[in-house]
Amino acid sequence: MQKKEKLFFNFFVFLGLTIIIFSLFKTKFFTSILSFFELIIISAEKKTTGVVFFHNRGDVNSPVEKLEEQNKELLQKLVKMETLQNDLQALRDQFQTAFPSSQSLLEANIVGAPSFIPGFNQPEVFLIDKGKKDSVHAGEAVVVKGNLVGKVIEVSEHLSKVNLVWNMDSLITAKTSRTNVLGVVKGKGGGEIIFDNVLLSDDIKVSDMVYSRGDLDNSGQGIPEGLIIGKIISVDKKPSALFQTARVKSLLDSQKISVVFVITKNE
Amino acid sequence: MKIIPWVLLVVVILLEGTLTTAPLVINFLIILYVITRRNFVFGLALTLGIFLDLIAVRTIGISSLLFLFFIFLIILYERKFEIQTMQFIFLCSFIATSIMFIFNYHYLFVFQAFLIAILTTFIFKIFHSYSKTKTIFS
Repeated sequence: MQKKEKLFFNFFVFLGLTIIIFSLFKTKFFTSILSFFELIIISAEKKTTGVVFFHNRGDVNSPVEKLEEQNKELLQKLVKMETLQNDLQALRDQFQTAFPSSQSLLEANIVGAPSFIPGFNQPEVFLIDKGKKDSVHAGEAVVVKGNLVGKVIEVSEHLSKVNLVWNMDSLITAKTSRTNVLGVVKGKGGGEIIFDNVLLSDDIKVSDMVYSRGDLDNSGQGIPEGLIIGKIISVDKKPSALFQTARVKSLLDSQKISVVFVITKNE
Repeated sequence: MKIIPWVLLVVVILLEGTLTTAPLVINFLIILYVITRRNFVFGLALTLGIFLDLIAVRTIGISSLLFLFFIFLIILYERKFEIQTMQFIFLCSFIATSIMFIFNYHYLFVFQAFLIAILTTFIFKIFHSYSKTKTIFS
């Protein structure tokens, strides 16, 4: 019985501590501490993704071992060079795109893309290495080569969470390229996107491109018009229904993206 | 062998923090409390919750509150049920995982929660049978 009382006592002590921490981290004083820890986390995450080969420095006496060692080093350099080339290509592709203008773009690396089974399930959110310190705000659009990746939903000092277009919480007003038909793009999870709330009388077809209609607030923050959301792959039109819907396929491959761009507000 | 649970803990934190949406840490804490029934689990719940919130860009302390709440529930029921059983662990894990999925805005969670509960029960079985012979959580 005494042990149980002690457990209860400990539980309430830790519960109190948690509530204190919960309240304290809301104050500005603790943001610097938070910022310090975030920097450590980001560098650790970057290093983890950077390590491709585990380098073993043993005795290298025989020519074969020396060659193997050199081969390992060369492979390591090759991987580093390929990573740099990919980053450079991503930057070139983005800045060659006329829209959005490069002045309003902030480059960010993806440091986390959690999904239930990584590599098998599509991630629903991205964690990027830019936050309040880099003037990222919640509600800003994230793009790659003019394609809408998602929307920033939470921002900390050095990290931001991006809700991807196919996330179940994602809701974006959109239009089609061919007929300018208006509708709402809803995420269905698992990489699925639905173009919903389209009037039955409106003309939508397979292969029509779907763009963002533009959803900016008074301060000019939000999703600008003309960002590619995807391509219609099937249309569901029932005469008895109020609206017709269409399935949209994003042109992005979430597994291959490593760099994204946040459309920041021009201040 | 004593190092295995702690290595597993680090792996679980890294996985949940960056790679997977599966709530692994809460399941680890459930196993840890059920086997040890010791007070340090509260401290661990508090620390791991804060660390996870930091990585996942969530309100700091919110995961700790949930972790502590689940462990408190186990304490409440440990006299009514035999908690060191596979059935209890499975049910507890399924409920905790489902709540964590809802809390993290994942709505199609039943099958995923079921899989995680099976995995947790399996890991519990291994640790429990091993802890009968040797002390691994110390």
